[in-house]
Formats: sequence, C-alpha cells, structure tokens
Amino acid sequence: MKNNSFDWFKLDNAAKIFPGQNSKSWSNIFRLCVQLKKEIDPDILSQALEATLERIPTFNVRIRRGLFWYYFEKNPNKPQVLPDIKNPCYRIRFKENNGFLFRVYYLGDRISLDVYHALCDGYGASVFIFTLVGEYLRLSGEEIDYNQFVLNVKDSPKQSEVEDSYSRYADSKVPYDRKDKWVYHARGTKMPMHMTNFTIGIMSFKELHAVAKSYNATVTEFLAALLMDVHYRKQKAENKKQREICVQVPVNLRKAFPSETLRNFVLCLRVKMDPNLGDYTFDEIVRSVSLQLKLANDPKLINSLMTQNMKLERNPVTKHLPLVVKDLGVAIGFLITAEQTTSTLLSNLGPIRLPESVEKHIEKAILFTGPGKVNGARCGVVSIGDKLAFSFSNCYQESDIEREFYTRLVKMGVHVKIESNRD
Amino acid sequence: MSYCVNCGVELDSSAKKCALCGTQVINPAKAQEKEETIAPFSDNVYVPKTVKARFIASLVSVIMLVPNMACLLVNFLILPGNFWSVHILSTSALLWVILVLPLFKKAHKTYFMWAFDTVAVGGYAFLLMNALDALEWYTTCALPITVLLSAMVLFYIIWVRRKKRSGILKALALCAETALAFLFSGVLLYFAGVPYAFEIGLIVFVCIVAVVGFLAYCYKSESMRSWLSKKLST
Repeated sequence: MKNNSFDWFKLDNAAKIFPGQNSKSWSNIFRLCVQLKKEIDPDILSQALEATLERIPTFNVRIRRGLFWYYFEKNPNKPQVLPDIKNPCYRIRFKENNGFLFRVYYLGDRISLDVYHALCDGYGASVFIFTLVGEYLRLSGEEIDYNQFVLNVKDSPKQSEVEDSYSRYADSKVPYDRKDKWVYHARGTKMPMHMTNFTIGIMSFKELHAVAKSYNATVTEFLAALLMDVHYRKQKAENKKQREICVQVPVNLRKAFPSETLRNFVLCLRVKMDPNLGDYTFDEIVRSVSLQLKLANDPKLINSLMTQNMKLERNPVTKHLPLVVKDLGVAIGFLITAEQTTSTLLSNLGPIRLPESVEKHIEKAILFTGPGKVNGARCGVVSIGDKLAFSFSNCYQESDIEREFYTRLVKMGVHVKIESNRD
Repeated sequence: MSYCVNCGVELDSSAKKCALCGTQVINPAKAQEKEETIAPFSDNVYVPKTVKARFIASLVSVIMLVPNMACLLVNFLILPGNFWSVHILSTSALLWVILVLPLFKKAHKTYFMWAFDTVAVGGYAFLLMNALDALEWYTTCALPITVLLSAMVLFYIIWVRRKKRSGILKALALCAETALAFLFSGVLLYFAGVPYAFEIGLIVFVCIVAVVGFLAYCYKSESMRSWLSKKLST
C-alpha cells in the first residue's frame, strides 16, 4: 500500500538497524550545534520549533512497534526546548521527551539539536536546524531569505522530502559484498555511563584548504589522512601486532542521485591502510587516502553497495520474521561486531551555504558525532563561511589522539581554537 | 584570549586548563580584562533515570516468595505429615542466594558473595542429607566436593583480581579449572567408593585438556592459524 500522507512512515534502510542497537548505555545519536551572535530567547525558540515541525514532518514523529518492523507515526504531543547539558548525545529512550526522537537545547547564544540517527542523516539534521534558526530569526524580527538549507515554514511539506531514497535508487544488478578485516582500535579508560568527551577545534577554512591543497588533496581527504596517520603512529608506538587501520567516511548520496529527501541517504565508504606493508610517510598516506576516496566515489559502485545493504530487507524470509526476532538478531550481531571493522569515523557535512541574510547572524556551527562503542575518536566536520569546526567524540578519558591531531595542524600553520567539555 | 603553552592551540576564554594536555592556564592580564563570556558547555550533567538492579532484585524476591509461602501453608494446613515443602523452600533459597543476592551487593563484595554461596550450597546439601537420611553420602561426597569446588573458585577469583588479564586468557584458565575440577572430583569420589568415578573424571579431564591445549596452541601460533585457514577454506 502506498502511503502518501504524512501521518506515518516506514523506517528507511539505514534507520532500520538503529532501534535494535538501542540500549540503556548507547544510542546512535549525534548533535548539530549552531552559535548565533545574540543570546537565545527560549520562548521564541519554542515557537520556532513548533513551526519547523509542521514544515518537516519526518521529525514530528514517535516510533512504534509493528508486527514486522518499527514505524514512525505522527506525534500528537508538544515538543520542548531544554537548557543545555554537559553530556550531549546521551542515550535516547523512545518514551521519554514526549516521544520525540530529537532534543533541542539552548545555552547562551547556542542552539543545539541532539537527533536520533533513525530520523535523518547529517544533511537532514542541518536542514532542520537551519530552518529552525531561520524561523527563530524571523520571529525575532529579522528579514531573512530562504534556500535549500533554510526552508520557509509557510510552505507545505513535499512528498520528495520524506521518501525513502534507498529503496528508490538501489537497483544494481550486482550487489557488492565488501570483505572487511577486524581492525585496530585506539582504546583507553572508559568514561562513566552517559558521559562522552567532546573536543572541538575551530579553524579557518581557507587556511586548512591551503594546507590540504599543498598536499594535492581536498579537505576531507586531507583530514582523513591526518586522522589515519595519527592512528598509524599511535599503533606503531604501542608495539603490538600491527592491524589494518580503517577510516569510515560517510558520503552524502544526494550528490550522486537526484534525491531531495530529508531522511537518511548516506553510505559509509571505508579507507584502509595496512601497516604491515611497510613504513608510510604522511605524504604517502595522503596520496593513498585521496586515491581510495576518489576511486570509491563512483555512483555505480555506490549503487551496488547500497543494493547489498537492501538485501536482507528485501529477502522474503528475513522480511517476514517477527520484530522481536529481528531485534534480537540485530542486538546480538551488534554486540559482537560493533565497530570492529572501523578504527575511526570522519563525517564531513562540508561547507554549508546559507543565504547572506541568515549567515550574517551565525557565528559558527559544530557537528558532534555520537560516542562510539569501541572507537575512541569519532570526528565531525562542518563549516560555515570561513569557520570550520572539527569535533572529536571520545568515549575514553585519554586525549592523546586529539592532542596529536590538533598540534600537527598547528605545526602545519593552521590556527586552532579549542573548546571542550572536559573538566 | 589565552593559549596553551604546551600545545600551541588557542583556548576558550572560560577555560581554566588546556583540554588537550591539562596544562593550567595562567593569564596575568585576566584580572583586569573582566570579559563576560559564556562557556561553550553547561556545567549541568544530566544522568538519565535507569531501573535500579535493587528494584529488579526486590521484585524477583517477592515473586519467588509467593509460591513458597503457598507451599508452606498447603504443607501445614491441608497436607500435613512429611515436610515436603522443605525441598521447595531450600531450592528457592539456594537459587535466591546465587542469582538474586548479587544484584543487591556491589561488585567489590566478591569475597563476601563467594563465602555466602559456599555456605548456601553446603547448607542445601545438609538439608538434603537430613531429608534423605544419607549421612555417609554427605560426609564422603557432598561436603568434600563442595569444599573442593569452593576452593577452586576462590583460587580463580584471586587469580583474576590480581592483575588485568585478557579475556581469552581468562576463558582458557576457566576451562583448565573445569578440567581439574572433574579430575579432583573423580579422585574424591573414587575414595568414597563410587564405581568408575575416577575413570570418568579422568576421561573428561583428558578431553577438556586436549581441546583447551589445541585452542591455546592456535592462539599462540600464527603459522598454525594460517595453516588451518588454508586447509579449512571453503
């Protein structure tokens, strides 16, 4: 049955796995934070949030259990805005927070959105928060313009924005099954439950771009290579059996396929490096990472990976297993294989182009990836104008990876300013 | 504006020390500046509510209590005669001590839990002896084996707690302990006059040692692992 209303939605292919992995200590949740130039008024923010939810119905939902799958249904409750907390991205419970799968916080001049990954990817979250910011500015008396990130809340939602683009575009004849080894993890002393260390480096996009250019790489390629290099040297210093290092890089599939969806439409590419092949210099690592990313970023290959991911969902046997069985399978699978094939994550939202009338009110934006299960450093990057924010989410107490990463950038001539929730 | 003298990064003006290396920020100009700044993170830690283990333990205890009380009443009021309800009560008590009591106690009470479990198992066997009138079984089989197993568990606990060990090593040690437990029990039962006890204990011991030894060898030797994966590849 085709569902053309905005009253309920099926979960998309990427989202299907997340509710099964949800536990009392860990959820797949990430944060987008926008810093304005004026102090936030919570009452206006609350009004703006209600208007934004009308415009983007995929956020105005609660999650329910069906016989075979979870589904989202329209949430009759009112959303709330909360004063900010020290431990962002703590686990989400489906019945808390009036059933909403996101939380909106304010602190000083910052608006933050903690969002459950089943709702949307980084792109969808950025559209939501900038629409919210746009509406907030309009309600506080500013003249603003609209574009793809700042939607006009007076328009009605479009069907193309709520579609499941995976099922629409995954049609490769040759599903491609990646074979991944279990890789190196930088481990440390675990933080107490619900606490994660966040360390954000704010730098100039132009400076970083110039440095990346001197290595003949894009900013994403350069940052991924630097992250890999830091892990590579750390593993070498640990003087144990050397394992492969793998950086997971999610790519926005809207660039490869003509989709307008505000839900999940990303796929994770994996960039690898085997230290057993010999000693690598940083230049060689940049070159290798850059080539691997360029090679993997092929729409046909991505389609084939995407089709492979859809296989279980489309298989008539697994499709009709009861939800309890599916949940149990996902939970057990996750317990054993969680993050074993990736050493770290680099999620780059890229430069966000806002209308001039909105951008002049914004200081910066920060993307916090959620804490890892075993991965120490997971990174999020986003830039507005010349300000680029690079964040580390670390479930361990140690800060050696962050320190090595930022001091390397400082040595290359990039000015870095640090913000952190560490004590 | 302050910088970390150790890392060379700029720090937020609200920061008291560097987030990367922990170096204290000493800014002589700060006293005059008096800049009103809001820290990038709130000080307020939100700890979500969780169901406490104590609550689950109390609930399970109450649920266990109901059938036990019912049995006791039935035994005394409706079907008096022999004390069959003692079996149900003692089994429940044993299960409660082993499974539910740890939920009440914190992890650092390991030795207390060990002592309590040992006493509970010994007491359970003692009750069984009284009910079945089997003094010889108690003194020659039940008591020695309880003491033996308890001692081995104690040994394992001390070994695990002495220093941090890898999961595989712990698993191997547990298997080895199990094998030894079978062997020693076999010896004890042999002296108690149980036929074939020693032989059965020995066979189980040898089987476990063979399997564990093979696994330990595979764990140690990379060439063995690669040879196996070559031969067993599909």
